[in-house]
Amino acid sequence: MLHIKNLRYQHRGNWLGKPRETLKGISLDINTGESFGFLGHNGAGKTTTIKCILGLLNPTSGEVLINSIPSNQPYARQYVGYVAEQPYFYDHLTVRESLTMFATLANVPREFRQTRIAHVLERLGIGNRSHVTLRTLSKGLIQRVAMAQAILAEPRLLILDEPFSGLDPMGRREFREILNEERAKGTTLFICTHVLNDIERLCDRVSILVEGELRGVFNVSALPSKCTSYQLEVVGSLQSTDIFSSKSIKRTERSGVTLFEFDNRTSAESALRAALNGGLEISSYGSNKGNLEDLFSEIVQQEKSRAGIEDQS
Amino acid sequence: MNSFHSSLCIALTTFREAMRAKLLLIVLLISCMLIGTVTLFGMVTIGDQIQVLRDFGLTTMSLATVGYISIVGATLLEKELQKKTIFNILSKPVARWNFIFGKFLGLWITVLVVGASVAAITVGISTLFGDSSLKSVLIGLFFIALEGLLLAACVLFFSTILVTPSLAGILTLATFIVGRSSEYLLRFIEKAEITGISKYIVELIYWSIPNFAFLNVADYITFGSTLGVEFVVKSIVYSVGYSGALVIVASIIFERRDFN
Repeated sequence: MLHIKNLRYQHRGNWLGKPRETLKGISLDINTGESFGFLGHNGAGKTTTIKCILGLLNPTSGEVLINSIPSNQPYARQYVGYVAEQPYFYDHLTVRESLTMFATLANVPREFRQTRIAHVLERLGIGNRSHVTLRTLSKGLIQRVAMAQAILAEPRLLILDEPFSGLDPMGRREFREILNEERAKGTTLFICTHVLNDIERLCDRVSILVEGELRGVFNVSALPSKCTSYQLEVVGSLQSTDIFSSKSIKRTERSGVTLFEFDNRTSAESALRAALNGGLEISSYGSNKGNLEDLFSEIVQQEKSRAGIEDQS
Repeated sequence: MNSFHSSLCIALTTFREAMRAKLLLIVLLISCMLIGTVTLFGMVTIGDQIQVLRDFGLTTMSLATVGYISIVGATLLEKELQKKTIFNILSKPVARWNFIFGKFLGLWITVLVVGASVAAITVGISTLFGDSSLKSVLIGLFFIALEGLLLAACVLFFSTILVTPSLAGILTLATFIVGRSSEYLLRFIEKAEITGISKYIVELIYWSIPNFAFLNVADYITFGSTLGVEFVVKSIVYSVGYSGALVIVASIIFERRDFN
């Protein structure tokens, strides 16, 4: 459905400013019907990637194909729905007028237009606001209008840039339900968000973007085994050298207990044995199932350390 | 749906937004006040009061459209970019030239309404004085529509090449003023006896700047002269051709633009 190959984008800056490469050769293949999470820290290049997909930015090099059509061709966007990070609409138009405009631009046949608009308005819970001008709506309601215009033409690819921002907990749940419905219909989802919990709930695969470079694509279901850690909690204030030979073990002390963390099972078990042999009181022992947040933090942290080393050298 | 429908949809949205904004009302209010003042002034003027009213009505129509285009037209693209409303539109299967053409058409339709409203006020007041001036005002409105077409294209062209809307507005206004006085450039060449490269430069300016003087028929209308069919056709071809070329260039520039 979406094919990105070696996508590069250089931000030109002003006349005297140095050009900055914000995307450094991204390659991705997103299958039809897949729900794909696109993660990255602030300024990683997520929105730039989305803008390149939508033809709002002209990439320096590389290729973006939507349904095998180059994304800079208007026809490629025929079956694309897009929810912007901070959606803006024409202030003086009513919700219905605005959606009629979007339905016309998205080539929804005239005879189905009003029925379709009524349906999405009801689905998004804004049916009673259809005659209200957009400038009077709250951020959460604007977000609903943004989702309404995105799903109006029954897209095959839905690109969502921080779709949950500005929504209350009920709104988030409703949006998740709508996205799951879209998935069930076979719509491909490309979700870009900071809320990792939402990615874990909605996505099949996730990619992590750091400083304009892709740092891997992971299956969400396979994530826990990828970053499991083991923890041993011992009563009392102890140094790692008190019981273990290694100084490099991660150690945290809180309310009378010391927590040791191990990255593999073998060292955790040998530490447990040493602690028991030493007569120490074990408060807890177990594995810590890693999640997306751990993976994300780990990758970003690694990148920062690498950048720090490069800066020093 | 073909591309023209997308442009038409954008044009109607632009028009609808403009109709609901306060600025249009302010422009019409100022126009009303101007015509009203001149009517009172005309009552104490020796001569043809209707002629004064007609003349001033046409001038007000022109001023209102030029003022409206220079202010609203100059901010038209910038507002879309700053408020990011363009992102939602261009994420649909809409080509960038469709967007530019739609904006151009929308601005022109709005300007037509501004001109027609001032024309209606002029006709209304002159009817009160026993002469509707309908025919002459309609001819004036037709040429102001052609002038508006050209000016709308100018403002969009400047908006695509300049980032600052105020500069685009000033340049549009300057183009209009120079274009209205373009005849003086030719007279200047003759009277100052300019030769060589300077002559070519002044002639180049004369031919490249839109000739708004050509579309100014106020004198013909005020004094009741007839305008030949050939002149009308030439005026249509000139304004449609020139504005078409400007919109094409603006679209090409806009096509290369990045929306960060």
